[in-house]
Amino acid sequence: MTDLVESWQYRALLVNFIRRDLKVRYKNSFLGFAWSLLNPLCQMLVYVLVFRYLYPVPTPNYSVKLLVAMLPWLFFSQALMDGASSVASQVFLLKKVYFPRLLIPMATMGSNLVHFFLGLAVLAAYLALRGVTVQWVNMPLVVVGLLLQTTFLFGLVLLTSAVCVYYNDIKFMLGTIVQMWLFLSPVMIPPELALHGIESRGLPAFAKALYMLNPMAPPLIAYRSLIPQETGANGGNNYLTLMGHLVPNLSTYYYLCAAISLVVLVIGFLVFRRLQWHFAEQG
Amino acid sequence: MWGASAKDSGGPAVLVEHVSKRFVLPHERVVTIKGAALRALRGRSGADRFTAVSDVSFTLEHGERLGIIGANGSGKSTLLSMIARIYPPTTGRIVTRGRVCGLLGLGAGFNMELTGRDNIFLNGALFGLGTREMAKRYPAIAEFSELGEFLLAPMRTYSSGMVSRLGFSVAVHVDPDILLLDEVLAVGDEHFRAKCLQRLDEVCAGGTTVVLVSHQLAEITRLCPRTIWMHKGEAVMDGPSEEVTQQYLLKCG
Repeated sequence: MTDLVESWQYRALLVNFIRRDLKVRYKNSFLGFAWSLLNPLCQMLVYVLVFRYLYPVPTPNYSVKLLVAMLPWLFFSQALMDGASSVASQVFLLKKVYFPRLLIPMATMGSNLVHFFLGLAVLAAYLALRGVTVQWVNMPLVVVGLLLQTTFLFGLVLLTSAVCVYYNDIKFMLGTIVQMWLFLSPVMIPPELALHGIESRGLPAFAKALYMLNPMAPPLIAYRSLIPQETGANGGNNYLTLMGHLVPNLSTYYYLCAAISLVVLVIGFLVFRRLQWHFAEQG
Repeated sequence: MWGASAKDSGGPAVLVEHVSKRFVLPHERVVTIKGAALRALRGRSGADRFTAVSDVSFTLEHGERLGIIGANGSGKSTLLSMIARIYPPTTGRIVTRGRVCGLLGLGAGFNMELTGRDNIFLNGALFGLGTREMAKRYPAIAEFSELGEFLLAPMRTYSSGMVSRLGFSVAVHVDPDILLLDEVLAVGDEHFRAKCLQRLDEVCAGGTTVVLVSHQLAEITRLCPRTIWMHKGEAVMDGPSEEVTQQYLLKCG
Protein backbone atom coordinates (compact mmCIF):
# COMPACT_ATOMS: atom_id res chain seq x y z
CA MET A 1 0.00 0.00 0.00
CA THR A 2 2.85 2.38 0.85
CA ASP A 3 4.12 1.81 -2.70
CA LEU A 4 0.89 3.23 -4.08
CA VAL A 5 0.87 6.22 -1.71
CA GLU A 6 4.46 7.00 -2.67
CA SER A 7 3.66 6.68 -6.37
CA TRP A 8 0.94 9.27 -5.92
CA GLN A 9 3.46 11.67 -4.39
CA TYR A 10 5.58 11.27 -7.50
CA ARG A 11 2.70 11.84 -9.96
CA ALA A 12 4.55 14.73 -11.62
CA LEU A 13 7.25 12.24 -12.58
CA LEU A 14 4.65 9.82 -13.95
CA VAL A 15 3.23 12.55 -16.22
CA ASN A 16 6.78 13.33 -17.29
CA PHE A 17 7.48 9.68 -18.16
CA ILE A 18 4.23 9.32 -20.12
CA ARG A 19 4.90 12.49 -22.10
CA ARG A 20 8.40 11.28 -22.91
CA ASP A 21 7.10 7.88 -24.08
CA LEU A 22 4.61 9.52 -26.43
CA LYS A 23 7.21 11.95 -27.74
CA VAL A 24 9.72 9.20 -28.44
CA ARG A 25 7.18 6.98 -30.18
CA TYR A 26 6.46 9.42 -32.97
CA LYS A 27 9.83 11.08 -33.15
CA ASN A 28 10.81 11.62 -36.78
CA SER A 29 7.50 10.37 -38.14
CA PHE A 30 5.61 12.54 -40.57
CA LEU A 31 2.13 11.15 -39.90
CA GLY A 32 2.58 10.99 -36.12
CA PHE A 33 -0.58 10.04 -34.29
CA ALA A 34 -2.30 9.03 -37.53
CA TRP A 35 -0.31 5.79 -37.24
CA SER A 36 -2.47 4.82 -34.29
CA LEU A 37 -5.23 4.08 -36.77
CA LEU A 38 -3.24 3.53 -39.95
CA ASN A 39 -1.60 0.44 -38.46
CA PRO A 40 -4.83 -1.37 -37.52
CA LEU A 41 -6.37 -0.22 -40.82
CA CYS A 42 -3.54 -1.80 -42.80
CA GLN A 43 -3.79 -5.00 -40.77
CA MET A 44 -7.54 -4.96 -41.32
CA LEU A 45 -6.99 -4.74 -45.06
CA VAL A 46 -4.85 -7.87 -44.94
CA TYR A 47 -7.44 -9.82 -42.97
CA VAL A 48 -10.30 -8.55 -45.11
CA LEU A 49 -8.42 -9.71 -48.18
CA VAL A 50 -8.00 -13.17 -46.66
CA PHE A 51 -11.34 -13.64 -44.95
CA ARG A 52 -13.56 -12.07 -47.56
CA TYR A 53 -11.90 -12.98 -50.85
CA LEU A 54 -9.44 -15.85 -50.38
CA TYR A 55 -11.18 -17.80 -47.67
CA PRO A 56 -14.57 -16.12 -47.21
CA VAL A 57 -16.22 -16.22 -43.80
CA PRO A 58 -20.00 -15.72 -43.67
CA THR A 59 -19.95 -12.81 -41.24
CA PRO A 60 -21.77 -9.58 -42.00
CA ASN A 61 -19.88 -6.35 -41.24
CA TYR A 62 -16.68 -8.40 -41.01
CA SER A 63 -14.28 -5.51 -41.56
CA VAL A 64 -15.88 -3.11 -39.07
CA LYS A 65 -16.15 -5.79 -36.39
CA LEU A 66 -12.56 -6.70 -36.99
CA LEU A 67 -11.47 -3.09 -36.57
CA VAL A 68 -13.46 -2.67 -33.36
CA ALA A 69 -11.63 -5.66 -31.87
CA MET A 70 -8.27 -4.94 -33.50
CA LEU A 71 -7.75 -1.55 -31.87
CA PRO A 72 -8.07 -2.83 -28.26
CA TRP A 73 -6.01 -5.86 -29.23
CA LEU A 74 -3.18 -3.70 -30.49
CA PHE A 75 -3.37 -1.72 -27.25
CA PHE A 76 -3.03 -5.01 -25.38
CA SER A 77 -0.14 -6.44 -27.42
CA GLN A 78 1.77 -3.16 -27.72
CA ALA A 79 1.53 -2.39 -23.99
CA LEU A 80 2.59 -5.94 -23.17
CA MET A 81 5.66 -5.74 -25.41
CA ASP A 82 6.55 -2.23 -24.19
CA GLY A 83 5.97 -3.27 -20.60
CA ALA A 84 8.27 -6.26 -20.76
CA SER A 85 11.29 -4.13 -21.63
CA SER A 86 10.21 -1.04 -19.67
CA VAL A 87 12.11 -1.63 -16.44
CA ALA A 88 15.08 -3.35 -18.08
CA SER A 89 15.64 -0.31 -20.30
CA GLN A 90 15.58 2.05 -17.31
CA VAL A 91 18.07 0.20 -15.11
CA PHE A 92 20.74 2.84 -15.79
CA LEU A 93 18.41 5.42 -14.20
CA LEU A 94 17.53 3.15 -11.27
CA LYS A 95 21.22 2.90 -10.44
CA LYS A 96 21.49 6.64 -9.95
CA VAL A 97 18.20 7.95 -8.64
CA TYR A 98 15.59 6.68 -6.26
CA PHE A 99 11.94 6.93 -7.23
CA PRO A 100 9.07 4.47 -6.83
CA ARG A 101 9.83 1.70 -9.31
CA LEU A 102 6.11 1.18 -9.90
CA LEU A 103 6.09 4.39 -11.91
CA ILE A 104 7.83 2.67 -14.83
CA PRO A 105 5.14 0.06 -15.64
CA MET A 106 2.50 2.66 -14.76
CA ALA A 107 3.98 5.00 -17.37
CA THR A 108 3.89 2.21 -19.99
CA MET A 109 0.21 1.68 -19.25
CA GLY A 110 -0.44 5.42 -19.29
CA SER A 111 1.20 6.17 -22.62
CA ASN A 112 -0.43 3.17 -24.28
CA LEU A 113 -3.83 4.18 -22.89
CA VAL A 114 -3.45 7.72 -24.27
CA HIS A 115 -2.43 6.21 -27.59
CA PHE A 116 -5.43 3.85 -27.51
CA PHE A 117 -7.93 6.61 -26.74
CA LEU A 118 -6.60 8.69 -29.61
CA GLY A 119 -7.15 5.66 -31.84
CA LEU A 120 -10.70 5.34 -30.49
CA ALA A 121 -11.48 8.92 -31.55
CA VAL A 122 -10.36 8.14 -35.08
CA LEU A 123 -12.32 4.86 -34.99
CA ALA A 124 -15.50 6.75 -34.02
CA ALA A 125 -15.00 9.05 -37.00
CA TYR A 126 -14.48 6.03 -39.28
CA LEU A 127 -17.66 4.32 -38.04
CA ALA A 128 -19.64 7.50 -38.63
CA LEU A 129 -18.16 7.77 -42.12
CA ARG A 130 -19.15 4.19 -42.97
CA GLY A 131 -22.64 4.90 -41.65
CA VAL A 132 -22.56 2.04 -39.14
CA THR A 133 -25.46 2.03 -36.67
CA VAL A 134 -23.71 1.52 -33.36
CA GLN A 135 -25.58 -0.57 -30.82
CA TRP A 136 -25.40 1.82 -27.89
CA VAL A 137 -27.37 -0.64 -25.74
CA ASN A 138 -24.18 -2.63 -25.33
CA MET A 139 -22.05 0.34 -24.30
CA PRO A 140 -22.11 -0.55 -20.55
CA LEU A 141 -20.71 -3.97 -21.40
CA VAL A 142 -18.00 -2.34 -23.52
CA VAL A 143 -16.96 -0.21 -20.51
CA VAL A 144 -16.87 -3.36 -18.36
CA GLY A 145 -14.76 -5.05 -21.06
CA LEU A 146 -12.30 -2.15 -21.09
CA LEU A 147 -11.96 -2.28 -17.31
CA LEU A 148 -11.40 -6.06 -17.39
CA GLN A 149 -8.84 -5.81 -20.18
CA THR A 150 -6.94 -2.97 -18.49
CA THR A 151 -6.84 -4.80 -15.15
CA PHE A 152 -5.58 -8.00 -16.74
CA LEU A 153 -3.07 -6.12 -18.88
CA PHE A 154 -1.64 -4.11 -15.97
CA GLY A 155 -1.14 -7.33 -14.01
CA LEU A 156 0.74 -8.89 -16.93
CA VAL A 157 2.81 -5.74 -17.47
CA LEU A 158 3.84 -5.67 -13.79
CA LEU A 159 4.77 -9.34 -13.93
CA THR A 160 6.72 -9.29 -17.20
CA SER A 161 8.47 -5.98 -16.55
CA ALA A 162 9.88 -7.28 -13.26
CA VAL A 163 10.82 -10.75 -14.48
CA CYS A 164 12.41 -9.41 -17.70
CA VAL A 165 15.08 -7.59 -15.67
CA TYR A 166 16.39 -11.03 -14.67
CA TYR A 167 15.40 -13.18 -17.62
CA ASN A 168 15.47 -11.31 -20.89
CA ASP A 169 14.22 -14.49 -22.58
CA ILE A 170 10.68 -13.52 -21.61
CA LYS A 171 10.82 -10.62 -24.04
CA PHE A 172 11.68 -12.89 -26.96
CA MET A 173 9.08 -15.47 -25.99
CA LEU A 174 6.39 -12.80 -25.71
CA GLY A 175 6.42 -12.04 -29.44
CA THR A 176 5.44 -15.61 -30.29
CA ILE A 177 2.99 -15.89 -27.41
CA VAL A 178 1.19 -12.72 -28.47
CA GLN A 179 0.98 -14.00 -32.04
CA MET A 180 -0.57 -17.29 -30.90
CA TRP A 181 -2.84 -15.46 -28.55
CA LEU A 182 -4.14 -13.31 -31.41
CA PHE A 183 -5.26 -16.40 -33.33
CA LEU A 184 -7.00 -17.87 -30.30
CA SER A 185 -8.82 -14.63 -29.44
CA PRO A 186 -11.95 -13.26 -31.08
CA VAL A 187 -10.12 -10.75 -33.25
CA MET A 188 -9.74 -11.90 -36.84
CA ILE A 189 -11.66 -15.13 -36.51
CA PRO A 190 -15.20 -14.19 -35.38
CA PRO A 191 -16.09 -15.90 -32.06
CA GLU A 192 -19.41 -17.15 -33.42
CA LEU A 193 -17.51 -19.01 -36.14
CA ALA A 194 -14.87 -20.35 -33.79
CA LEU A 195 -17.46 -21.57 -31.26
CA HIS A 196 -19.69 -22.99 -33.97
CA GLY A 197 -16.69 -24.78 -35.42
CA ILE A 198 -15.87 -26.32 -32.06
CA GLU A 199 -19.46 -27.59 -31.80
CA SER A 200 -19.86 -28.88 -35.34
CA ARG A 201 -16.53 -30.70 -35.33
CA GLY A 202 -17.53 -32.58 -32.22
CA LEU A 203 -14.70 -31.25 -30.03
CA PRO A 204 -15.21 -31.84 -26.29
CA ALA A 205 -17.27 -29.26 -24.45
CA PHE A 206 -14.34 -27.97 -22.44
CA ALA A 207 -12.76 -26.66 -25.66
CA LYS A 208 -15.54 -24.09 -25.73
CA ALA A 209 -14.94 -23.27 -22.07
CA LEU A 210 -11.22 -22.87 -22.71
CA TYR A 211 -11.91 -20.52 -25.58
CA MET A 212 -14.10 -18.39 -23.33
CA LEU A 213 -11.74 -18.58 -20.34
CA ASN A 214 -9.13 -16.61 -22.27
CA PRO A 215 -9.33 -13.34 -20.29
CA MET A 216 -9.23 -11.41 -23.56
CA ALA A 217 -12.28 -13.22 -25.02
CA PRO A 218 -15.09 -11.61 -22.95
CA PRO A 219 -13.80 -8.03 -23.46
CA LEU A 220 -13.32 -8.55 -27.22
CA ILE A 221 -16.81 -10.04 -27.56
CA ALA A 222 -18.13 -6.97 -25.74
CA TYR A 223 -16.43 -4.63 -28.22
CA ARG A 224 -17.76 -6.59 -31.19
CA SER A 225 -21.29 -6.30 -29.82
CA LEU A 226 -21.20 -2.60 -30.69
CA ILE A 227 -21.62 -3.53 -34.34
CA PRO A 228 -25.01 -4.96 -35.42
CA GLN A 229 -25.02 -8.52 -36.72
CA GLU A 230 -27.17 -7.85 -39.79
CA THR A 231 -27.37 -4.62 -41.68
CA GLY A 232 -31.08 -3.98 -41.97
CA ALA A 233 -33.55 -1.17 -41.78
CA ASN A 234 -34.00 -1.73 -38.03
CA GLY A 235 -30.24 -1.62 -37.43
CA GLY A 236 -29.91 -5.39 -37.18
CA ASN A 237 -30.37 -7.79 -34.30
CA ASN A 238 -28.27 -7.83 -31.19
CA TYR A 239 -24.97 -9.60 -31.42
CA LEU A 240 -25.13 -10.65 -27.76
CA THR A 241 -28.34 -12.59 -28.38
CA LEU A 242 -26.49 -14.62 -30.99
CA MET A 243 -23.56 -15.19 -28.65
CA GLY A 244 -25.99 -16.17 -25.91
CA HIS A 245 -27.24 -19.04 -28.09
CA LEU A 246 -23.70 -20.32 -28.58
CA VAL A 247 -22.58 -19.78 -24.99
CA PRO A 248 -25.62 -20.22 -22.71
CA ASN A 249 -23.74 -19.11 -19.57
CA LEU A 250 -22.14 -16.08 -21.23
CA SER A 251 -22.36 -13.79 -18.18
CA THR A 252 -20.56 -16.36 -16.02
CA TYR A 253 -17.49 -15.92 -18.23
CA TYR A 254 -17.50 -12.18 -17.52
CA TYR A 255 -17.39 -12.91 -13.77
CA LEU A 256 -14.64 -15.49 -14.31
CA CYS A 257 -12.72 -13.04 -16.47
CA ALA A 258 -12.98 -10.45 -13.68
CA ALA A 259 -11.73 -13.00 -11.14
CA ILE A 260 -8.78 -14.09 -13.32
CA SER A 261 -7.85 -10.49 -14.12
CA LEU A 262 -7.86 -9.49 -10.47
CA VAL A 263 -5.77 -12.50 -9.49
CA VAL A 264 -3.25 -11.68 -12.24
CA LEU A 265 -3.11 -8.06 -11.07
CA VAL A 266 -2.48 -9.07 -7.46
CA ILE A 267 0.17 -11.62 -8.46
CA GLY A 268 1.84 -9.08 -10.75
CA PHE A 269 1.86 -6.48 -8.00
CA LEU A 270 3.29 -8.88 -5.40
CA VAL A 271 6.00 -10.18 -7.74
CA PHE A 272 6.95 -6.66 -8.76
CA ARG A 273 7.11 -5.53 -5.15
CA ARG A 274 9.29 -8.45 -4.22
CA LEU A 275 11.75 -8.07 -7.10
CA GLN A 276 11.93 -4.27 -7.34
CA TRP A 277 14.64 -3.71 -4.73
CA HIS A 278 17.21 -5.64 -6.71
CA PHE A 279 16.50 -4.08 -10.13
CA ALA A 280 19.42 -1.65 -9.71
CA GLU A 281 21.87 -4.50 -9.20
CA GLN A 282 21.18 -5.96 -12.65
CA GLY A 283 22.57 -5.02 -16.03
CA MET B 1 16.36 -3.67 5.33
CA TRP B 2 15.21 -0.12 4.92
CA GLY B 3 12.94 2.12 6.89
CA ALA B 4 11.83 5.56 5.87
CA SER B 5 9.57 7.94 7.71
CA ALA B 6 8.72 11.61 8.13
CA LYS B 7 11.29 14.04 9.46
CA ASP B 8 9.35 14.83 12.63
CA SER B 9 8.72 11.20 13.59
CA GLY B 10 11.41 11.43 16.27
CA GLY B 11 14.88 9.94 16.20
CA PRO B 12 18.03 10.62 14.21
CA ALA B 13 18.01 11.68 10.55
CA VAL B 14 20.04 8.70 9.38
CA LEU B 15 20.54 5.46 11.24
CA VAL B 16 22.94 2.90 9.78
CA GLU B 17 23.07 -0.33 11.78
CA HIS B 18 25.57 -3.12 11.04
CA VAL B 19 25.10 -2.63 7.32
CA SER B 20 26.85 -4.93 4.85
CA LYS B 21 26.52 -5.19 1.10
CA ARG B 22 27.61 -8.12 -0.99
CA PHE B 23 27.40 -8.06 -4.77
CA VAL B 24 27.45 -11.04 -7.09
CA LEU B 25 30.31 -10.31 -9.46
CA PRO B 26 29.00 -9.30 -12.89
CA HIS B 27 30.68 -12.07 -14.90
CA GLU B 28 28.97 -14.63 -12.71
CA ARG B 29 25.59 -12.99 -13.10
CA VAL B 30 22.65 -15.17 -14.14
CA VAL B 31 21.23 -13.57 -17.27
CA THR B 32 19.31 -16.23 -19.14
CA ILE B 33 17.27 -19.29 -18.30
CA LYS B 34 19.85 -21.32 -20.22
CA GLY B 35 22.59 -19.87 -18.04
CA ALA B 36 20.63 -20.66 -14.91
CA ALA B 37 20.01 -24.21 -16.10
CA LEU B 38 23.69 -24.78 -16.93
CA ARG B 39 24.66 -23.41 -13.54
CA ALA B 40 22.19 -25.72 -11.83
CA LEU B 41 23.61 -28.68 -13.78
CA ARG B 42 27.14 -27.77 -12.82
CA GLY B 43 25.98 -27.60 -9.25
CA ARG B 44 27.32 -24.14 -8.62
CA SER B 45 25.47 -21.34 -7.00
CA GLY B 46 26.58 -17.72 -7.65
CA ALA B 47 29.88 -18.35 -5.92
CA ASP B 48 31.82 -15.20 -6.74
CA ARG B 49 30.65 -12.56 -4.34
CA PHE B 50 32.25 -9.30 -3.48
CA THR B 51 31.77 -7.53 -0.17
CA ALA B 52 31.56 -3.82 -0.95
CA VAL B 53 30.52 -2.68 2.53
CA SER B 54 30.97 -4.70 5.67
CA ASP B 55 29.40 -4.06 9.05
CA VAL B 56 29.20 -0.27 9.02
CA SER B 57 27.25 1.55 11.73
CA PHE B 58 26.71 5.24 12.44
CA THR B 59 24.01 7.71 13.38
CA LEU B 60 23.43 11.21 12.03
CA GLU B 61 21.36 13.77 13.91
CA HIS B 62 19.23 16.28 11.99
CA GLY B 63 21.41 19.03 10.56
CA GLU B 64 24.63 17.08 11.01
CA ARG B 65 27.24 17.03 8.25
CA LEU B 66 29.32 13.96 7.59
CA GLY B 67 32.24 13.53 5.23
CA ILE B 68 33.24 10.12 3.88
CA ILE B 69 36.78 9.56 2.59
CA GLY B 70 38.68 6.54 1.35
CA ALA B 71 40.48 5.08 -1.63
CA ASN B 72 38.65 4.08 -4.83
CA GLY B 73 36.62 0.94 -4.29
CA SER B 74 36.49 1.32 -0.52
CA GLY B 75 32.67 1.23 -0.51
CA LYS B 76 31.90 4.95 -0.13
CA SER B 77 29.55 5.17 -3.09
CA THR B 78 27.85 1.87 -2.31
CA LEU B 79 27.17 3.09 1.21
CA LEU B 80 25.72 6.33 -0.13
CA SER B 81 23.59 4.44 -2.67
CA MET B 82 22.17 2.31 0.12
CA ILE B 83 21.20 5.40 2.12
CA ALA B 84 19.58 6.75 -1.06
CA ARG B 85 17.50 3.52 -1.31
CA ILE B 86 19.06 2.41 -4.59
CA TYR B 87 20.54 -0.83 -3.28
CA PRO B 88 19.09 -2.70 -0.32
CA PRO B 89 21.66 -3.71 2.34
CA THR B 90 22.44 -7.44 2.34
CA THR B 91 22.38 -7.43 6.13
CA GLY B 92 21.74 -4.70 8.65
CA ARG B 93 19.30 -1.83 8.71
CA ILE B 94 19.11 1.71 7.39
CA VAL B 95 16.49 4.17 8.59
CA THR B 96 16.12 7.66 7.14
CA ARG B 97 13.79 10.35 8.44
CA GLY B 98 12.70 12.98 5.95
CA ARG B 99 13.03 13.49 2.21
CA VAL B 100 16.27 12.10 0.82
CA CYS B 101 17.83 13.74 -2.20
CA GLY B 102 20.85 12.02 -3.70
CA LEU B 103 23.28 13.43 -6.23
CA LEU B 104 25.11 10.24 -7.08
CA GLY B 105 27.28 10.92 -10.04
CA LEU B 106 27.43 13.31 -12.93
CA GLY B 107 24.28 13.86 -14.96
CA ALA B 108 22.25 11.24 -13.07
CA GLY B 109 18.61 11.48 -14.06
CA PHE B 110 19.14 14.00 -16.82
CA ASN B 111 17.84 13.40 -20.31
CA MET B 112 20.49 14.71 -22.65
CA GLU B 113 18.00 15.34 -25.47
CA LEU B 114 15.92 17.73 -23.37
CA THR B 115 16.80 21.35 -22.69
CA GLY B 116 18.36 22.41 -19.40
CA ARG B 117 15.07 24.00 -18.44
CA ASP B 118 13.06 20.81 -19.05
CA ASN B 119 15.69 18.85 -17.18
CA ILE B 120 15.33 21.07 -14.12
CA PHE B 121 11.66 20.08 -14.01
CA LEU B 122 12.46 16.41 -14.73
CA ASN B 123 15.05 16.39 -11.95
CA GLY B 124 12.60 18.02 -9.56
CA ALA B 125 10.03 15.33 -10.44
CA LEU B 126 12.66 12.65 -9.77
CA PHE B 127 13.03 14.14 -6.30
CA GLY B 128 9.26 13.95 -5.87
CA LEU B 129 8.37 17.59 -6.49
CA GLY B 130 5.41 18.67 -8.57
CA THR B 131 5.51 21.00 -11.56
CA ARG B 132 3.99 23.88 -9.60
CA GLU B 133 6.53 23.60 -6.81
CA MET B 134 9.34 23.49 -9.34
CA ALA B 135 7.98 26.53 -11.20
CA LYS B 136 8.30 28.46 -7.93
CA ARG B 137 11.92 27.38 -7.52
CA TYR B 138 12.93 27.68 -11.16
CA PRO B 139 14.16 31.32 -11.13
CA ALA B 140 16.46 30.65 -8.15
CA ILE B 141 17.81 27.45 -9.75
CA ALA B 142 18.40 29.14 -13.11
CA GLU B 143 20.19 32.03 -11.45
CA PHE B 144 22.33 29.81 -9.25
CA SER B 145 23.43 27.64 -12.18
CA GLU B 146 24.65 30.74 -14.11
CA LEU B 147 23.89 28.86 -17.33
CA GLY B 148 21.87 31.71 -18.84
CA GLU B 149 21.02 31.12 -22.50
CA PHE B 150 22.24 27.54 -22.32
CA LEU B 151 19.17 26.57 -20.29
CA LEU B 152 17.18 26.63 -23.52
CA ALA B 153 19.64 24.37 -25.37
CA PRO B 154 19.63 20.53 -25.28
CA MET B 155 21.86 19.17 -22.54
CA ARG B 156 23.97 17.16 -24.96
CA THR B 157 25.58 20.48 -25.90
CA TYR B 158 26.74 21.03 -22.30
CA SER B 159 30.25 20.50 -20.98
CA SER B 160 30.61 18.15 -18.01
CA GLY B 161 31.15 21.15 -15.76
CA MET B 162 27.86 22.64 -16.90
CA VAL B 163 26.03 19.36 -16.32
CA SER B 164 27.34 19.15 -12.77
CA ARG B 165 26.36 22.78 -12.17
CA LEU B 166 22.79 22.10 -13.17
CA GLY B 167 22.55 18.94 -11.07
CA PHE B 168 23.95 20.66 -8.02
CA SER B 169 21.76 23.73 -8.50
CA VAL B 170 18.60 21.63 -8.49
CA ALA B 171 19.66 19.49 -5.52
CA VAL B 172 20.33 22.45 -3.22
CA HIS B 173 17.07 24.17 -4.11
CA VAL B 174 14.54 21.39 -3.52
CA ASP B 175 14.78 21.64 0.29
CA PRO B 176 15.75 18.04 1.02
CA ASP B 177 15.93 16.88 4.63
CA ILE B 178 18.88 14.66 3.81
CA LEU B 179 21.28 15.55 1.00
CA LEU B 180 23.71 12.95 -0.33
CA LEU B 181 26.56 14.20 -2.52
CA ASP B 182 28.99 11.88 -4.29
CA GLU B 183 32.00 13.67 -5.81
CA VAL B 184 29.76 16.24 -7.41
CA LEU B 185 31.90 19.27 -6.71
CA ALA B 186 34.97 17.88 -8.42
CA VAL B 187 34.12 19.11 -11.93
CA GLY B 188 33.13 22.69 -11.18
CA ASP B 189 35.53 25.61 -11.51
CA GLU B 190 36.96 27.45 -8.48
CA HIS B 191 34.36 30.17 -8.56
CA PHE B 192 31.43 27.77 -8.72
CA ARG B 193 32.89 25.50 -6.05
CA ALA B 194 33.23 28.38 -3.63
CA LYS B 195 29.63 29.29 -4.36
CA CYS B 196 28.50 25.68 -3.79
CA LEU B 197 30.26 25.47 -0.43
CA GLN B 198 28.60 28.70 0.64
CA ARG B 199 25.21 27.44 -0.50
CA LEU B 200 25.78 24.17 1.38
CA ASP B 201 26.43 26.22 4.54
CA GLU B 202 23.08 27.93 4.06
CA VAL B 203 21.30 24.65 3.39
CA CYS B 204 22.82 23.08 6.52
CA ALA B 205 21.85 26.09 8.59
CA GLY B 206 18.29 25.37 7.45
CA GLY B 207 18.52 21.96 9.15
CA THR B 208 19.42 19.72 6.20
CA THR B 209 21.57 16.71 6.99
CA VAL B 210 24.44 16.36 4.52
CA VAL B 211 26.62 13.38 3.64
CA LEU B 212 29.52 14.27 1.35
CA VAL B 213 31.80 11.79 -0.38
CA SER B 214 34.93 13.45 -1.69
CA HIS B 215 38.62 13.05 -2.36
CA GLN B 216 39.15 16.75 -1.66
CA LEU B 217 40.17 16.58 1.99
CA ALA B 218 40.20 20.38 2.28
CA GLU B 219 36.60 20.47 1.17
CA ILE B 220 35.64 17.83 3.70
CA THR B 221 37.30 19.58 6.65
CA ARG B 222 35.87 22.93 5.56
CA LEU B 223 32.29 21.62 5.34
CA CYS B 224 31.96 18.67 7.70
CA PRO B 225 32.89 18.59 11.39
CA ARG B 226 32.80 14.79 11.30
CA THR B 227 34.36 12.29 8.90
CA ILE B 228 34.30 8.54 8.37
CA TRP B 229 37.28 6.85 6.73
CA MET B 230 36.35 3.80 4.70
CA HIS B 231 38.87 1.12 3.86
CA LYS B 232 37.99 -2.11 2.01
CA GLY B 233 34.35 -1.80 2.94
CA GLU B 234 34.93 -1.12 6.61
CA ALA B 235 34.63 2.13 8.52
CA VAL B 236 38.12 2.17 10.03
CA MET B 237 37.82 5.56 11.68
CA ASP B 238 34.96 7.84 12.67
CA GLY B 239 35.64 11.19 14.36
CA PRO B 240 36.46 14.88 14.01
CA SER B 241 37.44 15.65 10.42
CA GLU B 242 40.90 17.09 11.23
CA GLU B 243 41.98 13.96 13.09
CA VAL B 244 40.55 11.52 10.56
CA THR B 245 42.02 13.28 7.52
CA GLN B 246 45.41 13.54 9.28
CA GLN B 247 45.47 9.82 10.01
CA TYR B 248 44.30 9.11 6.46
CA LEU B 249 47.15 11.17 5.02
CA LEU B 250 49.67 9.46 7.32
CA LYS B 251 48.56 6.00 6.19
CA CYS B 252 47.92 6.67 2.53
CA GLY B 253 49.55 9.96 1.64
